[in-house]
Amino acid sequence: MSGIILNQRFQKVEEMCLEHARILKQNLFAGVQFKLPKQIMELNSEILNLSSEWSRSFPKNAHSQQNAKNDGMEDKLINLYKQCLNEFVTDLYEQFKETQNQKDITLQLVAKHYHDYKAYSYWLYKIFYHLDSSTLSTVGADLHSLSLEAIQKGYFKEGKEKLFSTILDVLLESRQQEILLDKKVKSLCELFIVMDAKSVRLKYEREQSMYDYICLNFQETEKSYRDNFENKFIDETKKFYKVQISERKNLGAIEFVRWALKVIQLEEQMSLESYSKSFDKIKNSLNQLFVKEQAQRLSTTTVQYLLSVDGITQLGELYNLISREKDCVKFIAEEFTVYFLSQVRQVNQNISDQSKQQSQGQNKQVLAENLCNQILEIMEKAKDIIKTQMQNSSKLIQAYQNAFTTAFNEVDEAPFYVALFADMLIRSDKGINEIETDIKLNKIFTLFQLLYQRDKFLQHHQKFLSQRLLNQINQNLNLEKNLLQKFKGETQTNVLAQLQNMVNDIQQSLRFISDQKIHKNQKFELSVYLLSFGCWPIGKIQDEIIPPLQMINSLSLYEQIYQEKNNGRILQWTFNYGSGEINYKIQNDKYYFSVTTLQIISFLQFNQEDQLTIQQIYDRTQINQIDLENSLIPFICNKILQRQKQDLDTFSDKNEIIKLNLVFNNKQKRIKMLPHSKMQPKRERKLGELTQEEKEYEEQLIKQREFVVDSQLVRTMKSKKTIKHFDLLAQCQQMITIFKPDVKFVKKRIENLIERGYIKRDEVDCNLYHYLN
Amino acid sequence: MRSKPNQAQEDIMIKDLQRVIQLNDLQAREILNQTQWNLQKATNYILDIQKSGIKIEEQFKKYATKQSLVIDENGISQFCKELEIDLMDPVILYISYIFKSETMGIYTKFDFLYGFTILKVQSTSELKKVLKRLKDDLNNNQEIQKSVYKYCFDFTKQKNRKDIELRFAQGLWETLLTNTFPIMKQFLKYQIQEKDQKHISRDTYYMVWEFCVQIGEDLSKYDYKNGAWPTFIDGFYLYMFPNHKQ
Repeated sequence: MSGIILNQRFQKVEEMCLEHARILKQNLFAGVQFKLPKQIMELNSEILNLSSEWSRSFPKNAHSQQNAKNDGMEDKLINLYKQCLNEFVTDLYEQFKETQNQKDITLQLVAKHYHDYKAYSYWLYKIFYHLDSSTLSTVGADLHSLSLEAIQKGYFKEGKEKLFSTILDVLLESRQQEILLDKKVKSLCELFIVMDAKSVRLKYEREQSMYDYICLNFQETEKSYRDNFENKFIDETKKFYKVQISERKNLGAIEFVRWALKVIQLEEQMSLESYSKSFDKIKNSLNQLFVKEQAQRLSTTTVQYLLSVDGITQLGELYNLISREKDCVKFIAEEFTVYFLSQVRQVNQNISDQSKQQSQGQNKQVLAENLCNQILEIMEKAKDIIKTQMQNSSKLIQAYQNAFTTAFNEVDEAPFYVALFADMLIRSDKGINEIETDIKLNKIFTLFQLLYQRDKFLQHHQKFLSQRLLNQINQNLNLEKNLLQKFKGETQTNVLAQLQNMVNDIQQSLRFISDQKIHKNQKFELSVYLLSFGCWPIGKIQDEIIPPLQMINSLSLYEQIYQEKNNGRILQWTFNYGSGEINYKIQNDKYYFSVTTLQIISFLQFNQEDQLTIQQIYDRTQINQIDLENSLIPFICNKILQRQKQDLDTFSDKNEIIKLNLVFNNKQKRIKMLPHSKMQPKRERKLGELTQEEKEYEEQLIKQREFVVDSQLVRTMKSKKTIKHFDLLAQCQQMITIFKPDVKFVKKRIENLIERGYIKRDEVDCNLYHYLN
Repeated sequence: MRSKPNQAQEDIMIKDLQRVIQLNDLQAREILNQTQWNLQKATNYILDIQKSGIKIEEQFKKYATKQSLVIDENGISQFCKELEIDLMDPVILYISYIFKSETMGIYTKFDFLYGFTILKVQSTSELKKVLKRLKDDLNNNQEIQKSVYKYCFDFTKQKNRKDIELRFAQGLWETLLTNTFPIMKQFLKYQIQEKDQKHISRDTYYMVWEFCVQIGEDLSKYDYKNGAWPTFIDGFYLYMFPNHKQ
């Protein structure tokens, strides 16, 4: 009974509903603002009543749920809802069908359609929302999903091809114009994004008056989105740009780079704007096309050229493009290496040519300066580029280190040149400006880091250091200490301890003098440096030399004071080092001579007599012939002494007499008379002699190196007990930083250790070693 | 069951045995090993050899020097003549190996006593009969070749050194290896440039054998960069392929 009444009420509702739906539709089509009429609310409550009364009167039981008759009120209401939706959709689709391939019109229309449909669905929902819970159980989808389903079936399914090509056309125009055009394309893309979703919500943004389907479970839409939109779109994009790229094959590299960067920027913008879900995939595709496939070609044609013409910013642009694929940076790095290798090799070649032209020692300084400064300059340039244009990329830094290290060590005399350069820099440093000093130290250290043969460098450095330290003017103890500290941080060696001792010696000597306030003998002022035995590169200590009486007291006094403080230590005087000043009174004039200690000792013999034979001088001083020549001939050349033979003859005749020039007179009262090569007899540069010293240094170096490698090998064997040849070799080369032992050298040491019984080979596997205790 | 003696105990036993009769370390060790380091058994064994070796002693005296202490080069020369073998024939090295003789160029009485006994012969003419078998063994059995090769290092070596002169090593290589390993023909042509390689260490010597066996003719298998081959053999490789030096 009540069923009939309810059905009648339903029919009324149906009429009203359809009526209002049409009104709503017309309003939307006309784009008119509308207000929700009061009748909507009545409809809403009427629907609620209908459905609840029905369920009260005809309760569902187990049987009727399987009833496929659809007689229930709820079913009727749901169908009404669906009908409203479908009517609307059908109308939309009719309009859509009529559009031809006019992309702009289609775009506008579809955008409006979508908006209108969402609005319509939203308000429809307001009417029917009481049904929401029951639709879920009866139809398996809530109202919003039903709305989405309706448009999917009636509009999207048939029209998706057209929709897709519209999107493509619109974007194509954007691409051709190289700017982002119509933003409405976003709503078309949204259609693709939400299709196939089973659980959605429809949201209404009041301020923007926008409606949106919110997907609750994106996984439902993935396949549809990919198949209908993403894959096709990316394919089209790739096709498009492949053509574009091949058209630009003959474009200059930098123009290509700039165009590529612009394209990428545009595409990413477009993606973010309209289809941000595909952003990563698009980015990867673009990287594939523009970076992975182009990187090598672009690098090999441009990097070296740009470096040579200082096209720094263009290098930056190139890097910006290529660094999008981290792996591709290696192409730039390779070119970088090649370029700087050749740059440094050119410098090396110049220096080598220059050195062949010149003959002897003096101009080594010029060579050293040129070499080091030029290399530092190139390094500076390279480093700058990496920092400012390439974001300190680790691959580039690696390339930088490889190039410079490899090339710099190709110069045979690199360790010597660096030591000489260091000497020059340190001597010219007056210690005033800390910043400048730091810069100098860093220059030296940078070059040091490049060297393989650091032990050779330190050998030379030690000699120069000794010269600097023993000369008061050039002492700069803090600077020397800082430099040594830097070296210490970089490598391990006993020699560094020696060098530090040398500096400490001087420091302590000075302190000792001031602490003790050594009594100043008026006739002979003495200043002493105490050198630790074994640390200084001093040759033989000539302790057989006999100092003159005037000196002896002061020397003894010093010895005495020292022994009081340091009982048991042995002191030896190195008369072959040191310098001083002689005051010479003759003809009522006073002169001051800057001379060496040996010169003092030999000249002071003339206090006792006006003339002496060479033999006599030798007997009294025990200074050997060559040193005597070097000492006294300057006096002879300056006419202070006279001799029977020519000025520059040797002292071979022991009976030759040397006498004071009693009428000596010179305008200059201060005369520098340190031994000078121009004031020496022409000695046959026995090539044996100089190279004797060099030979000794070389032998010392080799012995040191053998020791370093031996101890590293034994250390490794001790800890590993058993190790493969390859690993032993690698470990050894890795741990030794003081020089670069080559494979042959290490192998020889291994053979030596086998012979000495430290290591043995395995019986079965020849590549395996065992440690023998 | 006596437990195995340690190094020091072994040395003492060897010395003890050497008081019984004059024999070298190698022979003493060999005999003691055979008798499980039982000094008494070893001594007995030696005395047995002496008792039954009268004919061997006579044979020995025929080659020995005037004082009858050892056989020197002349005697060895005679010995080889009677065996109808060349002085340079590798089989004489094999025989020395069996004798466990200590130094090249000298045979002691015990060398003969012990060696002939092991070979179960009493005279040179009897030895001549087994010569063919010995030659075959040496040529065909790689284990024997290896043992003889290794033995020859100490055999050639002087007492005060740990290595042997290169020319002696080359002699040994020529005698013992060239027939089996053709690569050695090239190897012998290889002259070293450096002055300090006029001696060959034990390790290098042993590794030349390994080189022949593992590499031989097929030099492509030689790992110059990462292999643990001695530098002497590396030198040979570079001699064959100078452009591999990089």
